[in-house]
Amino acid sequence: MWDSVVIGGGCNGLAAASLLAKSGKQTLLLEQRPFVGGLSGAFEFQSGHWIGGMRPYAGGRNLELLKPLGITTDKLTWHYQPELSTIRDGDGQTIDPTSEPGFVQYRTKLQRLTPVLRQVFGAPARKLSASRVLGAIKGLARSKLAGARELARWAPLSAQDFLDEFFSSDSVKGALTAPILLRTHGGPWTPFGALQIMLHEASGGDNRPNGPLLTQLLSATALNEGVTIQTGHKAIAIYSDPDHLVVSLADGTSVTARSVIAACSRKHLFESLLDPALTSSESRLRAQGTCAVLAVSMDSWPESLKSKHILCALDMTTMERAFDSVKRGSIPDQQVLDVAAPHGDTDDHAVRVCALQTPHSPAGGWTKQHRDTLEKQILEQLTRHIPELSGRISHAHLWTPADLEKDFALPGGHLWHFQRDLDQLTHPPVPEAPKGVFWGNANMESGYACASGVNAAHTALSARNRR
Amino acid sequence: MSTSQYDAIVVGAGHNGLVCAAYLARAGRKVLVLERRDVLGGAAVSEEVFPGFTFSVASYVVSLFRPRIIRELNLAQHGYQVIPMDCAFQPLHDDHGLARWGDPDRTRLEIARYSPQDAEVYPEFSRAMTRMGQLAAQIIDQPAPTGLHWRHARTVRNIWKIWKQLDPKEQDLLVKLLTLSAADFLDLWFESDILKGPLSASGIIGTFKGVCSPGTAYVLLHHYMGEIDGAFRSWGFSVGGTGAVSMACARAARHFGATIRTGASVTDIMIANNRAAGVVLDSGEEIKARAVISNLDPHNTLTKLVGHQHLPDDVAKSLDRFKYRGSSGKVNLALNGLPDFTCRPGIGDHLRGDIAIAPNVQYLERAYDEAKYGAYSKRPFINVVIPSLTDPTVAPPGCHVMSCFIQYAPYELASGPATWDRERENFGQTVLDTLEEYMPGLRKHILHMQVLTPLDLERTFGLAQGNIFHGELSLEQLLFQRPAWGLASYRTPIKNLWMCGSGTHPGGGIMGASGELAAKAWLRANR
Repeated sequence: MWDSVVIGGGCNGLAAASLLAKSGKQTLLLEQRPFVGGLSGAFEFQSGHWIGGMRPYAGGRNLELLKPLGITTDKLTWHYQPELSTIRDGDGQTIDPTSEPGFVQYRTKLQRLTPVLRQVFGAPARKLSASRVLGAIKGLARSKLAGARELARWAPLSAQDFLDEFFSSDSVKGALTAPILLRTHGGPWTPFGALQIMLHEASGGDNRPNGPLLTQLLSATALNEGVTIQTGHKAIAIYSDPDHLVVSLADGTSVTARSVIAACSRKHLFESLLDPALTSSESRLRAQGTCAVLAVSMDSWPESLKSKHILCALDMTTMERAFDSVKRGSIPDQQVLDVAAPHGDTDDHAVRVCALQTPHSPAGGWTKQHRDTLEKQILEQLTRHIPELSGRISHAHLWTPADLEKDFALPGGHLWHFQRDLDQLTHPPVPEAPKGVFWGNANMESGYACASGVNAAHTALSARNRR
Repeated sequence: MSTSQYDAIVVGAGHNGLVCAAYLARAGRKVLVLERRDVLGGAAVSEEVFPGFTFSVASYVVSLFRPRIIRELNLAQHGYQVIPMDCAFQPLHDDHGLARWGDPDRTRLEIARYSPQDAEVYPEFSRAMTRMGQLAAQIIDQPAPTGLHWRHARTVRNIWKIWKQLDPKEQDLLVKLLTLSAADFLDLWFESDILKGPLSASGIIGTFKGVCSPGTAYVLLHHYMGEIDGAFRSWGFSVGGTGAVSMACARAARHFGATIRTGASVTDIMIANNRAAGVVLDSGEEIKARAVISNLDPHNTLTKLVGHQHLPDDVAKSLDRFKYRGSSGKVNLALNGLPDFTCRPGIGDHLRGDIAIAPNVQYLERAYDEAKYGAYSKRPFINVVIPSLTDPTVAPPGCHVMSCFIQYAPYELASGPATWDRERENFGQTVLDTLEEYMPGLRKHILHMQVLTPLDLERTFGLAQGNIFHGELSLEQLLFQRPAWGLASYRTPIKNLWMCGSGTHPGGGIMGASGELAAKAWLRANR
């Protein structure tokens, strides 16, 4: 019998397992894939070619919670250094939002709202508690309520209406809207897009730690602390016995534990691992992922291209039209691409392209023809936006949102586990989980790296100490 | 005229203006109501557009009208009479369509044809929504808190009390109602896309958003706040058309001593030392009064009549940002008979209520997707009512009036709003084409047809950009933000100039609440 079993070896699972082991708990970590790292880990998609994680804007910028594990800022590199990031518009022209006349005002106002948003959406508490509300009110009082006025008026606006108040350039608006495509199921004209932009900013903006490096450090720590890591072991159900919990595995075996920390997606926990009857229809999480990932290797890296991160943005109308296609389950001709260069290995000529507006399942499912169409379109658009890459591409590997769902146990294929809509953040559906089962709360809005895993571990530890 | 003859002039005789005037007159104030048109009622108006055929030209059903107003102004004695509708019918391309009735058992059988599970959930859904509607109605019946001022402590406390009445599950539901799309919200309950069609359609009426746009679930709630004779959740026909509601308000106002003038178009509000002193009519006549209360929308009141030069910069800016974005049109038909709906032939009770061409969620979303790039929907959502079946006074014997509310017809066409005049005919034909798919032969019965584009709504009724609610009912434009922070207490930056139209809290629908709350606020301030 284990003290704790952690399900899922992403960075949250690794952090949780490390903390539990550090507190002297016999800890087992189960990962269904052949290696740990989850969505943030490095992945060798072709011999000698690696991509650094599936997600753009992964993790939080603040490493405070990982300090007890000895992981500090100086040990990491950062993914989105402004000087190494480029934004290109639909024509391949480089644009720079920071040089826009409205940018300073825009940034200042967003930064003023950041503490308030973190207080409401980022705190580890599960529900909107009095202390969070009080904290928010204090923050607002400090800004003499101007913040409250702006928040109340802005939050429900669409990205377009919100950005119209600051910018005139359509491609700049397109670039600033791009991150919301990952957070929610919407386009630039979808209401509450402004809230998503504000939350993106509050949770750390574009600059995030290097995911693969972070997972490497975390898995080393986990092993160091004595965590038993079993990869290739897929948990399929959690049962509760009177004095312990049973996790049954896909190979027919099972393990028993005093507590289980689910570091997988919460939707997966409640709708697959636990008895689905626990989840009432009103508390089902919405998670419609619209991001496909294409790993691309090249013969050589263009010397002229220095950027490690390139956002191929679109103007607002084209982006909205792409969203229309996504809604109807067809593949748009053009969509927003987020391109990340290798995670540090300079000899590796590979990029990770996130196609942010791909339907989860096109009509008729992902046939070979659909996959080929998508791949071809992404590559065409990639070389049109970044002409430097044309003629160098040798190989590509595609994950559709449906593939991500299958490979990473991500319901809906949503890279952030579920849509970051207001109701799912303030009132996350909390069906009763069996005693001893803990899960990380979705508080990446806090801007702290691995907050979900760390919070789950702390909750588990304090629950046990009380007993 | 050197001294003011009137305590207050109400500009515009819409139902809110008339309610406001009636309350002021009831309190013994001398009130003059000025209406630009020759008929009273604003957008709640009945007109004999074609000889023998009386139409509720613009708004067409009643339910949200506040019972307190009916009581306090004795409107029943002045001719207010609403006949509840018993059915909501959704024609489909099958053999029966879907009708939802006042009788729950009958509704269950109908829904069970499409989904037995939904049929069981439906009563539970109605109960939950009615509960939420009752809570929202409490918010509608009091002024919005406009800041952290001691004056609003009571309102804030009341709202807090309402929130505390809810158990955690209901609080969750309320947050979802305020932020989800109608389609997502209904997904939490139902599986049948057919049932979700007409239900989600009530979430988009009057807004330029789709059924999948977050925030539309709230508008859905507006449709569960209806109250007729104390029974929640019923819609009704006003006998004599919706104009009869306005006429009842007008009679009440006159009964209490108010003066109402039609054909009096206000072209200017006289402002001296940042105070409203009266109005100027297009005839050049000047009428002075101690206060001017405008029933027009914020754009017409503050941008057009007052002018931004009289307003602080931040107010002018927030007025520019206030979204109107009219998205609907109206087609009124005079018929010499009623054709059959293919799916349910015969003139049965299913035609005596609300008929929605909203076959499913995708249909509605597609209609929105076409419209958002600046074209009217090729297959729009249509809300049809045939009041002549319930109230025979509105059409000659054997004939009928059919009122069709159309969405989406965006005010901003890609080629500019002015092109609506060119598109009117085609737009009308699109509507008929859509209807003919469900009731073939309709065209043969048409004696007359009136098509109102959003541009027509703006020109005829003074609705800015043709928005039927004086401004979109979206979360950032409600409560203390309707029409803007600092303008939500019915006052304006101009002293003695007040607003009482739908552009103020609580807005939209034939409620009369804005008129009532504005009058009461003014009376408190001018005791």
